[in-house]
Amino acid sequence: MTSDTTVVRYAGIDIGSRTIKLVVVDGTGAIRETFRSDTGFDPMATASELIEKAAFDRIMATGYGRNLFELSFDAPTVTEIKAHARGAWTEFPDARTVLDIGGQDSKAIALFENGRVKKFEMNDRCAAGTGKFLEIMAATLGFDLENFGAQALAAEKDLLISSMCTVFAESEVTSLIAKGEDRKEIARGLHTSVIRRAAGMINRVSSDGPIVFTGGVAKNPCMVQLLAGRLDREIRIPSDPQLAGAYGAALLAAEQEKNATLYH
Amino acid sequence: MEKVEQLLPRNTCALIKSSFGFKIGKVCPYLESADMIVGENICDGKKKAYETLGALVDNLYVMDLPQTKTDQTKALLKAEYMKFKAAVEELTGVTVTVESLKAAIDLVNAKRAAIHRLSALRKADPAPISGLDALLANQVFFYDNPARFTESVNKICDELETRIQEKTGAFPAGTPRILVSGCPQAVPNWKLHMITETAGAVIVGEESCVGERGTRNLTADTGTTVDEMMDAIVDRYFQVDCAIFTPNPQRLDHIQEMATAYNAQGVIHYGLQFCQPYLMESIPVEKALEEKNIPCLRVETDYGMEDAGQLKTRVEAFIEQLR
Ligand code: SF4
Repeated sequence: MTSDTTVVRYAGIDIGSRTIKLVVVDGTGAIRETFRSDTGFDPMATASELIEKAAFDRIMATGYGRNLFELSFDAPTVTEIKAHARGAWTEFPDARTVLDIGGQDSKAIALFENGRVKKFEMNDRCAAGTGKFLEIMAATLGFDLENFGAQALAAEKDLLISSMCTVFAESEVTSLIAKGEDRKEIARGLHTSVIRRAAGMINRVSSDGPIVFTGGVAKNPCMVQLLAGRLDREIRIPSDPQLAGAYGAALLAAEQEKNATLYH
Repeated sequence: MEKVEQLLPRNTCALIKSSFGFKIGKVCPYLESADMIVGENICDGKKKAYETLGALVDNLYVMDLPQTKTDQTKALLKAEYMKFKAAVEELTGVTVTVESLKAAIDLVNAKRAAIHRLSALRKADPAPISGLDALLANQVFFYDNPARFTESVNKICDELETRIQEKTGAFPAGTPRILVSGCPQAVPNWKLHMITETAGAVIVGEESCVGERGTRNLTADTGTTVDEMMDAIVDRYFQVDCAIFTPNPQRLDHIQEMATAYNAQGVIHYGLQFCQPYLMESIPVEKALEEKNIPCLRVETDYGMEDAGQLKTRVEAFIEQLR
């Protein structure tokens, strides 16, 4: 667990509902190692497997499982809002807006110039507008999640899906399939409905400038294109959008230690 | 809850549903032993819910309340209060006199003054009392014997003054301070305070009807006749800046005044799901605060715990924002 080099290394672990991500940085903030694994049904067991593989001196946890991690490993925590903000801002220091769509929730964050959180919006308590929604819809339509975005992009038009509730949308999709509608067009319609919701959240926190899009859903090309088109704003994707939260937490772990040595 | 939802639509605010739960579950001794249950037409939810409650009890008295502040509506409220006075006199066989009304006004004013004293002490850093305990005092305001309540709150205040002198707080000095504004938090609703104060902040005030909005104004004690005193009671009611009034600009000012007075770094706007008046006002409140660079988090929740995890994340992120 401890790094054997003389360089101090800081880890950030992002315990999401679907995936656990771990990023290790050095004192300069450069990424040294990354790991990820499906959360599974025992998140703490998965987390400790990842920790065993990585070499670091300090760790900070984020994501919905952070409190459990804090109890099991006695580590400091940070919310996924601050962690994503920090990860995104470090890669794109001129960005003032972050959109994160993860497996279980989505959020829009406005930043101050120094990367601090100015304001944020989060989706409601259900799966609507999240990665989970897309995953269920991909399965209903018989697409691979990996290709879902590419397939949707290939459609010539959107088929309007009026329901954002996962359960209702699923039955809407089923009846569209039964009517013989084009699967790709249905797929695109579903993407559009998620984007409509995300755009609403973004508009509540900021009105212009580039948007950094983080979270696993940012890997979906259709989402990125629809978002850019709908808001007419530049969309920037981190080199590995899914790691933004863990990366931010690692940077914050380093920062926390720096402050601790400064003040004690 | 299932029983309540047989009587009221699911999308009714939790405060109303909970009062029905008290009645149906017979868990509230006051409701069960009261000779008269008084309901006021505050919002549409309550107004219509009383029609349903009326079928469950035989002693419901519904009072109409105005929603605008004009001379005409003042006259209407006065008429409602006079009618209520007559109903109470008939029920109890006791006539309201100059002496008895004056004594009652003094009694309730003393209760409010005790709460003012408690509130003023919450301005200290470290906060001498947790927001949760202070909320409980504000909630008990509605239930306890008034004289006993005044005495107990004053006792708490004596203790808090010692704590302030000794600089011992419920939380360490420098803990982020938050003002809560919005819907009333009635017993058994401690959810937001509990979540916020276990996430590393302290709540230093409630801009709420269970809190400063409800208690800040005293009834003027200048009346010399029953009629003048009734006017004073009406006047006091008209100073309350509850969201059921339209328009209601004073509330925006009061929230900002409170944020400054209590040294709060941020405001959480507390909205109960399906409460139109407060949810509607939450947007102008947020805007007004943002213009003053006071961070504001709008939450919309109910009494259930299903959203506790998500709410905790949002509150924690808000506290990080204030640090
Ligand atoms: S909280 Fe809102 S909806 Fe509920 S009773 Fe009060 S004003 Fe009505």
